[in-house]
Amino acid sequence: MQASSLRLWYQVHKWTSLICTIFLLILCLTGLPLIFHDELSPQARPAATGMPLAGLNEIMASAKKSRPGEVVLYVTEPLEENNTISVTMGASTAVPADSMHLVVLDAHTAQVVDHGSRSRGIIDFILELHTDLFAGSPGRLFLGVMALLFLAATISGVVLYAPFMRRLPFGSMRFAAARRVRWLDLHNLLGVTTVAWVLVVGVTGGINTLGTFVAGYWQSTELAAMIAPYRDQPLPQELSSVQAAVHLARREEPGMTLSTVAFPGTPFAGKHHYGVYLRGNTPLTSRLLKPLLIDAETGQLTAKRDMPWYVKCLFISEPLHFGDYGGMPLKLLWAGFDVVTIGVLISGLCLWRLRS
Amino acid sequence: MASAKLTMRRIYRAPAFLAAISFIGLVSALIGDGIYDMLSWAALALPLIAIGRFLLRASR
Repeated sequence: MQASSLRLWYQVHKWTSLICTIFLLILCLTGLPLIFHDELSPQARPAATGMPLAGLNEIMASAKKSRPGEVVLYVTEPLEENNTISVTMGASTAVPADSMHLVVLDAHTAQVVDHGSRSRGIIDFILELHTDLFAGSPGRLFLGVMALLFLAATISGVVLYAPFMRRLPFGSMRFAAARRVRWLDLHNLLGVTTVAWVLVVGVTGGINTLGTFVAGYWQSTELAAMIAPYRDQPLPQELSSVQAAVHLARREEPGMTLSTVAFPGTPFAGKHHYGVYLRGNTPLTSRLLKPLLIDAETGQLTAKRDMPWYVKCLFISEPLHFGDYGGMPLKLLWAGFDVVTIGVLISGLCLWRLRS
Repeated sequence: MASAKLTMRRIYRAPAFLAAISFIGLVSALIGDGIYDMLSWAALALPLIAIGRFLLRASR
């Protein structure tokens, strides 16, 4: 490589890294406990009873009794089979997400195990810091930009690896050398061995920052087209059975199971339908939801369609970022890579300080 | 330290191998459970084991 282009790559690596390192450190430090989010969030879990599952109508009645005066917005079957069903409730279908309550019920007995009035735990604060630095949508987009810088830093780092390693075998650690050389060897080893994981987690993290925008775009284009024929119809007076709606959706798509029912009036259903979102059964397809709209008055299926590519990208980005798709060993490996990435960031900072 | 200059191919051989193994590990657990999960664990453990070995060797 020519000296001039080498200098250019060096400048790219230095500046992109310098800007994003502090935020990447925050992301790595907060990300570490978040890998174990499911294990750390306190949630009552009923023991497996071996009884038949309760019907959805029964589940809803029980949830409504636990929060009088509120309406059901969403019913969700968790991805992890833990014998629970979650019911999201609110004062009306128009309440913002942070005024909703998550009621958790035993999937067999329909008994409430969590009333949704639990105060936010430390893990929720860590999650918020990780996703938007407590700054809402702008914070999320800012972290998306940091992900782009991090991507540039990673790629320039891989390019710079060669000139530094021209005379060294892979994994060389010159511990007898000067301090700067030791940090350099450590930075090179840690960085280049974890580059694949870092790229995947970095890129999917960047994609996740666009989540709400992607959902909004899908609602205003695809979902809007699905409910368009109902635009001028009167609101449903008497709601048809939600249990029947799910039954119909599952018969329509054999091999898929329920993920979420969005109730009429919520942003994922429109005013006249149940939005029944089904998912597949493998680790991959269980993340790919498919919406079916069931007329909430007649109980008829009126529309269904596959998600467009950009929503599928978002769906697949979630597990690849969180590392929650291969059991506890995968989570521990995720934690290992996270710690190594912290090592790359800190050794990079030390290199820069020793050089300037 | 005056060893011969290494070719590009030689320099990137081990990192490229570890990256390929990592990608296999990242995708494998998405495809299925059981054997696919185990393949994923083994593949993703490899880069971390490599780091551990080089650090251990250097600290001796």
